[in-house]
Amino acid sequence: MLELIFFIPKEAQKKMMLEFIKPTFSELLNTGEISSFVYTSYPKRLILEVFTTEENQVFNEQISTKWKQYLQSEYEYFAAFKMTEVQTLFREFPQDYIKILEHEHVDESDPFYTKDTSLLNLEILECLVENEYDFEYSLCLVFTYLYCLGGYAPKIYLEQSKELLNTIEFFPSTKEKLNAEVTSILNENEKEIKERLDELFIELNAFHELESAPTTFSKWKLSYGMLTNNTEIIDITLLFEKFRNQLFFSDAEIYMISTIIINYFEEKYCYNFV
Amino acid sequence: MKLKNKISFCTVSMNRLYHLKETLVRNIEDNIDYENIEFVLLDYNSNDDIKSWVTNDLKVYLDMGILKFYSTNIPETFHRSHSRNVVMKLATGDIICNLDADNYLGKDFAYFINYQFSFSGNIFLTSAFADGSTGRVCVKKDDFLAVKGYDERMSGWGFEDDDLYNRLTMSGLKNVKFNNSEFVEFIWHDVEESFENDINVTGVSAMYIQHKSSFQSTLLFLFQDGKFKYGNIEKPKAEEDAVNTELVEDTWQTGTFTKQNNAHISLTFTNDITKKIHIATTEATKNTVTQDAFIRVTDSIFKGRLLLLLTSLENKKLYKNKFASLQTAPNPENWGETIIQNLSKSLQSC
Repeated sequence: MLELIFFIPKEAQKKMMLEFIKPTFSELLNTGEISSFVYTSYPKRLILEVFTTEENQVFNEQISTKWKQYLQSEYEYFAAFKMTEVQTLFREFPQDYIKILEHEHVDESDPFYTKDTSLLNLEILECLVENEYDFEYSLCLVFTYLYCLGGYAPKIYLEQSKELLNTIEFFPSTKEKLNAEVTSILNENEKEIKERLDELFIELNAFHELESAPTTFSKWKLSYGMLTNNTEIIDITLLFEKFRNQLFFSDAEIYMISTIIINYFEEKYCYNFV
Repeated sequence: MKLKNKISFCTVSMNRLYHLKETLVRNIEDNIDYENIEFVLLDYNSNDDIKSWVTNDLKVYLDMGILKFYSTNIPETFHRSHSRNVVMKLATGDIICNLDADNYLGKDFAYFINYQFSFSGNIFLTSAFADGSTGRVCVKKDDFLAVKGYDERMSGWGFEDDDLYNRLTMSGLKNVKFNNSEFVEFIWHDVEESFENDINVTGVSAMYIQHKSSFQSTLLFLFQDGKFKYGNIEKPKAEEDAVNTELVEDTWQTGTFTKQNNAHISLTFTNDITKKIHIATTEATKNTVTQDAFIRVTDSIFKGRLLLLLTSLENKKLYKNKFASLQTAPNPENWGETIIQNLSKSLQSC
């Protein structure tokens, strides 16, 4: 397994993911040069874990060349993005922002390696960018993901959402602003949002019929369903963290989305979740 | 909000009111949040007070339509496969689930079932444990009907579940097993309780054993109506546990008997062959070995073990020998049918 570290600021990663990682690695998957890959986003770097089927040396050179070509073609964008940060990174990692580490031993039974959803998330990221991160769309996506993590009953959704919400810490003033934002969203669109979540919940609960064409969310559901399939111990927090990072959801977005999901279930099923 | 998939929990009771009083209300309350469910209860000619209990204590659920109560007074003894077929055919759900009277479903099990079926319609769900929850199976009603349900030739205790699961698998479904501890609770009781009304053991008046070796014996069961069942049993390997005991012949041999005196019983088999057997004076224990004489079994634990063999070994033999290539049960045309009274309606109209 190879670990490719791209030293790119978070703000530029989405573009790089869609323009470089998605086309390049989809092609490598298709040609069989890699068997799977997993990516995780961090503030100043993006880490890609790749299972190669080709000789590592050949693969390393191939990927470095492609990356260099892409970087040169978009040099102005990346260089201008945050000059200070980019210059610092250049000094630190002169080989075109990339560092490739080789790992000899990897536990392939680890569900985080074997249940890779990176390619799917790249497709979803594209949808999110195309929809300019439409809030309702994001809400439905998170709802679908929670369902797949085992949120089969309303109370379990609530427990999961609460648990994930507790992993995010804000300054009290930020939290106040976010709560005000949630109230404002609900005041303006409460009926529409709840109707949409009702529809989605029915859609998620419906039988999977192989003959019928899957909808966007039922397709995602089936893909994400593999995450927990036959896996006894699931670290929901860690899986969710990876999901968020891959789709570049900010803490604020996730806070608002989770709060609305909790609100939806508390009202619908009258659960007192104090 | 109505969910697409209706789920039916199907329970048969023959004199199991004492279990139902512990489990049924809790099962309903634990799953009532999932709106699209029904509990179908079949009274399989019980002698207990089940009707008045349902009428008085469960009226609220009958009125809500969440509990459906049926009764039949035809069967004189308990037939596991037939009774389950009857109740599961009465169910109106998209997904039907066998729920033994001593089982607890657990909170939100209905949601869990629907969740599992939402990922793939081509599955059936069973408990991952070989214990009191083994018989819990959730299957789409269409799939259950397609394989013609439980095989009604398997009247006894055991293997009728394995046979059904086998045939559902062979029909192309994937067996998803759940091991969530909250969904597999049940009331512990002696295994003998499971077959006390069983068609195979009802009326047994005496039982005898002839030990041939440490892994071969002959069993003789005498019935009150003058009939007997006789058969050779063995453990395929001497060192194997008793659970691996098998019937040598495909079925128990049957006929009528005459007690000539305390030392001899005369057996007339259905093929007119007669056999005179010698009864030893000592009582049988598990460790007694005699080469020729039969010993009367009086130890209650040992008797229970032998009754278990009586009710289960034919099922086991059928399961092992004949079913590997069958996808549908060779049931009669009218499988899963009997004369049924819909007590929910009559009670609701009172």
